Order: sequence, then C-alpha cells, then structure tokens
Amino acid sequence: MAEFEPKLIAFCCINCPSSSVTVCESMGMSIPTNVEVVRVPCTGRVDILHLLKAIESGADGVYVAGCSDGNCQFTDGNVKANRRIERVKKLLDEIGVGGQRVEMYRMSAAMGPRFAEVAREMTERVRGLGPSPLRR
Amino acid sequence: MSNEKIVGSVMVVGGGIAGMQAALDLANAGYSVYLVEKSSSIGGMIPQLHRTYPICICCKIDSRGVECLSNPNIKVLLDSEVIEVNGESGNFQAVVRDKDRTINLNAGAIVLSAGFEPFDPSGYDTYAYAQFPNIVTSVELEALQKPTGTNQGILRRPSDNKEPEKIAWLQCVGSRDINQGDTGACSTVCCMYALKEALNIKDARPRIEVSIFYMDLRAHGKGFENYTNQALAKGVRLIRSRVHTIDPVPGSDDLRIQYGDEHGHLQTESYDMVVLSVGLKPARDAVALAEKLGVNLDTNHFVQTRPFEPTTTSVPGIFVCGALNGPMDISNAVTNASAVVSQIGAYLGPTASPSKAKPSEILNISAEPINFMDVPVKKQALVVGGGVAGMESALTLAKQGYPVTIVEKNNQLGGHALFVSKTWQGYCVPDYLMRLINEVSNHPKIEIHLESEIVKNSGYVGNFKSAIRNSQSAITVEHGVTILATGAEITKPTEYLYGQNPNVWNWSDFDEQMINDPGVFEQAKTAVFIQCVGSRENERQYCSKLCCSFAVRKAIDLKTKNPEMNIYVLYREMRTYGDREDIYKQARLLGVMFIRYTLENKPEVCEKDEGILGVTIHDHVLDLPVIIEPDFICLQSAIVSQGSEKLAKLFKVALDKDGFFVESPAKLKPIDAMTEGVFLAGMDLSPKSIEESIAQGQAAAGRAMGILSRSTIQVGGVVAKVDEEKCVGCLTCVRMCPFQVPIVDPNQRVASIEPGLCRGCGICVSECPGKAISVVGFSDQQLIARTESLLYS
Repeated sequence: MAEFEPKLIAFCCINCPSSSVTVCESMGMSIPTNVEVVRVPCTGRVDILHLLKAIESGADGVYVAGCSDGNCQFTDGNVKANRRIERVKKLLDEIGVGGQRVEMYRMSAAMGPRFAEVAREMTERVRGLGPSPLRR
Repeated sequence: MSNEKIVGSVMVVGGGIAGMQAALDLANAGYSVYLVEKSSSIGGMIPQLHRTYPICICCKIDSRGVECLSNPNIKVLLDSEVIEVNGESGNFQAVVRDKDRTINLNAGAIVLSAGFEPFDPSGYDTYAYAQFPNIVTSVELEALQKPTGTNQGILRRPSDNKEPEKIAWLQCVGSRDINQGDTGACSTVCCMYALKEALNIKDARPRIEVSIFYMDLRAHGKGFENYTNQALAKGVRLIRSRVHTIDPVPGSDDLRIQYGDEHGHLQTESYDMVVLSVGLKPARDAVALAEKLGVNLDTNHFVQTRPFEPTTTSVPGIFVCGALNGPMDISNAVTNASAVVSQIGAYLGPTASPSKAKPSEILNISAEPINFMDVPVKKQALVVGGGVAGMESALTLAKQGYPVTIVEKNNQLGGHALFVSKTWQGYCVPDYLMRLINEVSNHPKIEIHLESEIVKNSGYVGNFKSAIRNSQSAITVEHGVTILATGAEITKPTEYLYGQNPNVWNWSDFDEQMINDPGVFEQAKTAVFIQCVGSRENERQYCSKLCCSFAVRKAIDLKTKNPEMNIYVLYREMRTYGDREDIYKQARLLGVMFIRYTLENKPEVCEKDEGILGVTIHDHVLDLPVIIEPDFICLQSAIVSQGSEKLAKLFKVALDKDGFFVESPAKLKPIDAMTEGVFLAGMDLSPKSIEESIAQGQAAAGRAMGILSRSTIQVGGVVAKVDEEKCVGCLTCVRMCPFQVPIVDPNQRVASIEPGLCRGCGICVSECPGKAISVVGFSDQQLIARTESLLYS
C-alpha cells in the first residue's frame, strides 16, 4: 500500500503568514501539495466551527497560521484564535478523533521558510496519526 | 515668494521608507510626485534587514513599494540621479538621468530623503574588520540571518560555517568617536538594533551567549526601556566598556576581546563572532546633491534644518526628511516624512485632484464582490490640546484653508512649553511660542475654546461629531479628522528633600525661574543636577527622554556665564542621542562633571545647619564616596502623560500601561490612532523634545490632509454586520472588539456596528454566541464552502 498522504487545511492570516508564503516561493521552496490554504483577514476570524467543519468534511488535520506574538494588526486576534484551538483540541480528544490533528502556529514575515517548514511538520505529525476516522 | 506660477508637483529624492511615505502622503493629498531613486528598487535600507524593532514590519515593506509603483499620482524613476536643478522655490526645473536617457521635470518643491549609509569600518584598524572574516558589521549580520540568504536563516559564521556559540557586539563603531574620522554624533538607533539582534538570536537559539559592549545604553524611546529589561531577563549580557583590542585566538578562527571593566581591571574573553554596531552617516550622493542645491549642512554633515522647523532646509522650497535629517529610527523617519508633506501642503496650497483611496489586498481574496458607499467628508479638523504639537497641527491645516477647532482645558495656549526657556540647541523657546500663539490666535480659520473639554464624540473618519463644553455653554462641532495632542506633565519629586529645602528645584520650576529672572542662578558656586528622578524605576519603567539634554544644556549655559561654577550632573545613562552628543562633548570640555550612579547607589541629599545642602554620591571611577555642597539642586523628574482614560474612551484610543496613548497596531503608522481619522501628536504619545513635538504635530496635519483633501470617503467594504433578529444584546462583541466599535443600545438591546469604524478583522463574528454577526466576504457559509470545495476537489 502506498504511503498515506494526509489532507490538510491551513487557515492563514493575510498579513505575516501570507508574506511568509511569498518568501517561500521566492526562495523556490514549494508548499506541500497536500496542504490547502484558506486565507482570512485575521486568525481572529477563525471559528471553532470552521475547524470542526473541516475535520467533519474529511480533513486529516487543520492548522491556523497567525502573526507572531504582539504583531497582530488587530491587537490580539492571534491570541483569541489560539484559545479556540485549545478548545477544539479538547473536543476532538473527547470524541476520539484526536486533538493532535489541530494546531496553531505563529510566524513573522521574516521567518520565510517557516511556512513551508510548518506545512511539512504538520504533514508528518498527521501522517503518524493516520487517516482521520471521519474521512469519507 | 516670487510671482512665478507655483507648480503642484513635488520631486522626492530617495526611495527609502521616508521617501516612500512622503510620496504616498503627497499623492493622497493630490500632488503629483516624482520619486527619484538611485538604485534599481525602492525600499531603501529596510529590505536588507532581517527583522525590525520593535514590531516587525517586513511584511509591509513590499506592499508600500507596490503602492508607490501603482499610485497614478506617483512616477517612480529608478536607477536615476538628479544631475541639475535650476529655478527657485515654487518652480524648480530638474534634470534627472537614468541608465539611458535624460528627463526634464518641473517641481514646486523638492524633498531630500536619500537617507544614510552605514559606516564602513574597513579603514578602522583598531577592530581589524578587514583582517578577520568573523568580525562582521551589524548590517552583514542581518544578511547572515535572513531566511532568503545563503544559510537559509541559520546563523553561521563566515570563516568556517560553524554555528556560533558566543557572539559579542561592539557599540559606537563610527559614532561618538572623533579619533577615527569625524563621526562625533551618536547614531541613535544602534543600541536598540544591537539589543534586537541579540534578543532575536537568543530567542531562536537560547544556548548562544550574547554580550553587548557599550558606553551608554540609549534606550530613550517609547517602550525601549521595557525591551531592554526583557533582553536582560532573557540573558543578554550588557558590559559597559569601550573595547580597545581584538586579536585572533591562535590556532582557531575565534577572536579575543580585551577590555577594561568598570573597576578599571583588564579582562579578556573569547568569542566565535564579533559584530560591529556601525553608525549612520548621511549618504554620500545625498550630501553631494544637498551641497549642489546650496542647502546648509550641520557639523555632522546631515542636512541642517531651521530652528523650530524640523523639516525645512535653508533653501526655500527644499525640505528634508528621514535619516538625512539626522540619525533616526524608522518610526521617526515616517513621522518626519508626513511632517514634510504638511509643510509642502501649507506652502504650495491645497490641490484640486486628490487621488482615490486604494483598494486593499483583502478584496482579492474575498468570496464576494465588495461594495463601498461614498460619504462626503467634513472638511474641518478638531484639535484637542493647545500645546506646541496641537498648535502646529492646527496652524498647518488652517494655512491650507481647512477650518480648525482647538479645545484646550487650561485658560491659555502653550501647554508645557510655557515653562521651557531653551531647546537643547539653545534656541529661545518663549520667542517662538509667542509667535506661534499669536499666529494661531489671529488666524481666521482657527476657533479656540479655552477652559473647555470634549464630553461626547460619535461618528467615523470623515464624519465625526463632538460636543465641547465649558463652564457656561456646550456646543457641537462636526469634523472630518481628530488630532489628539493633550501633552504631558512633570511629576513632583518625592525624594531628595524636594519641598523641604527651597534650594531643591524641580526642573520645570527651575526653567520657569530662568525665563523670569535669567541671572538668578549665575552666582552659585556649586550646582548639582540629578537625573532619572522617578523615571526608569518602580512603577515608571520608561525613560523621560529629554532630561539628559536639558541638564547638559543648563550646565553649558551656567558654565558659560560663570566659568568658576562647579557643576555636577549625576546620571544613570547619558542619553544625549543623535546630534545632542555635541552638547555633551561641549559640556565636558567646559569642565562640567558627570558622575554616574546606579539604582543601588542613589545619591543622598541631606540638609546641614542653616539649610546648607549636602549631596553624597559614590563615584564609579574613584570607587569612593564624593561629598558635594551645592548652592542648589535641580531634579529632573519623570514626565507623565495627560492623556486621560476618559478621552481615550471617547475617541476609541488605547492607553499603554504607562498611561500614554497607543498608536495604531497597523504597522508603519506611528501617529495614527487605532481609529481611522484620529491622529496623535506630542507628549501624549511619549516624552519628547519640542522639535519632535513640532514634527509630530505637523505630521498629524500631513496625515489629516490625506482625508480632508478628498470630497468623499469610502465606507463599508469588508465590515461586520449585525442580524438584529438573532442578536440578544449579550455584549460579547462589545468586550471582544479590539477597537471598541460595537455598541449595544440599552433600550433596543441590540448591538450595532458602525461600518465607518469597523476594520473587518472578524473577531466579533467568531466570538458571537448567537451567530448574529457576519463579515462581508468571510461569512461562516463562505469559509466553510471554501474549505469543503478544497477538500472535495
């Protein structure tokens, strides 16, 4: 059997992390094709509902890429997002899907390759967990 | 001014952060701009940096550049140089040459913003920079850390690609040094950038040992002290010493540093890498052009500006901003640029064709088309606070024909400057202040409300409404922009026998006394100035910034009048940043004595018989206590904000933990408040000198022009909307909004969000338990649909 290729959704703020994507591209680093990016005005917009819906729709993992500490244009949208992710982790643990499938990452635009690194890191983590039990 | 027709276009020379800001603000106010840049891209120094202090702005620099390139009012000329300039103020003819052609252009005004170049230490034999590969400049270190660089973001030392474990920074290389070249001034920014580099490295690899060798730690700006404390807590080592020798360690690529410690003992340490914190010098080409234009330079070869006109050069119609104006950090350069724009506006007059607001990046990723509504702009300004910053901004706007209302809580204009006799350069403040107050009071476009306060504010950018009240009456004004310039005040000391002995002065009273009776202190035999009284300790962990320059200035003035006087300045760090270093040098030459003290070893003041004062201080050079019997003591006490919580709430501006207003978290907007259309200037942001307050006041006017010059403003777009059927008025959105936009009407028990104020972050949408709020283009349905389509495709 071929190696399991997880499907990931990344909710990505249009500020720092999106610039990080641009830096990755300018360095010729590719973002793994199993990661699909949904861009949002701020990670503060990412709701518990969006994360759960993504898992329900068959994503093997979901992560949120926000700006680094103290660098949110909306003061603390990244902090609020982080709180929601902690909540989703608990919920997923309770229903046996596994909280490990969601994560929050923070990065600055200057940490260019970080976005590609995070994408690979998350892919490897989810690969280890195996396909989501909810995958259709 | 001549009778020649004034040309409404401006030539900006230099496309760094200051030049870009000037070009954008000018274009937004309707001027056409030629942005002339020597290199093949705009951006200047910042793209060469790894991260910037304190907030990283790397992700905003490219978009600024794109904004310049795509703005129809800006013509960017790359690879270009100004060859010749003829004509005069209001009608300059310039010849610009790029790689293959010569262009003739006309401009009403010229802005010099071609910035600085880092000091080149190649010829600096003390530090053997050219000899050893592991001695790098701070600029090279930035490049070594860059993720797009050869090492992909992992710091490796040049000689053998080893990851360094011990790094030292040497401060003041090419600054505060007259032995090697003529670099007398302090470069202002190096202390903070070295701390930033050290802290970034420490954050990435905590096991790396980082040490900074410095003379005085100049952490004088807003939030700097806090950052320094943070760096110390994370293990950044600060060593007060000027290193005199770097030698190679035999048999390795390491470097050995020899230095004298604070007790005069010789120490030796080895490092894997040494970073030279190189200073800022005015860019050579920029200086050559300035000389060609006949613009005066100061002793450090930066462009000289006129007293109390921080961006006006000696030649009418030619302005200067950014680091060519003197060493300065990014936010000061941006402020400087906006100040230039307001001065050009007042000089060339308003224009007829302001450019349209640019659509933001967010529109490209929205799931539905975004509609805006055009709302007319009230072409009027409200200025809260009648001090220097407030008056300068009011006057600049009034000169362009915009009616301005000034609200001042005291019974006269002038603010804190009323108690200041001289600037640090020695310029007479009362003369300037009287001129300014007269001009403001007599200007037909300015309405002044003394002993008044703002009691209500509503509306949004372009359409504010405020209620002003005094003891007799209340009126309402409509205004398109608001400028908050409420200033600061000096605290009363609670130590050093202040209030108990008549010869112990607080510095504002001292200076006021010098205005009223200039000769009053001249006959004293001995004088003591004590710095940092109530600043940088306990609950006030910030530097009051101007006290060092104040004490040095006073010491020079007293010493000049009476060379026999013994003057002692007791200080913790001498923060005579930038050109102020010149007066520090002058004071030492005149024989003023500077004695450093630490928090653990504060000076002690006692009163002997008949009220005679005694000061005991531990001298760090002699390592012995010194006893001084001064005729008077002047205490430089802390400066605290007057920006009240009430005002902050009314105008939806945040206060920091020290009580100063907080600027917009949107990067590169040092004088914009969180709420659009509200600008901040002067000491209510942080302590600062008069010239910096003037620059900020003018800059606030420059930013305001971008709104007032438009006939309409676009409202709406990506904003949150409340579904009144679903809302139960639970106040969650009110608590969660970072900008305090949602309001719940107590009668209707339903939230409302003003589209003119909403920034569209979507935080309230996600927090609303009733799912009653949605944000245009990013609703739950739209985001879920997008996720599903990606998963099913």
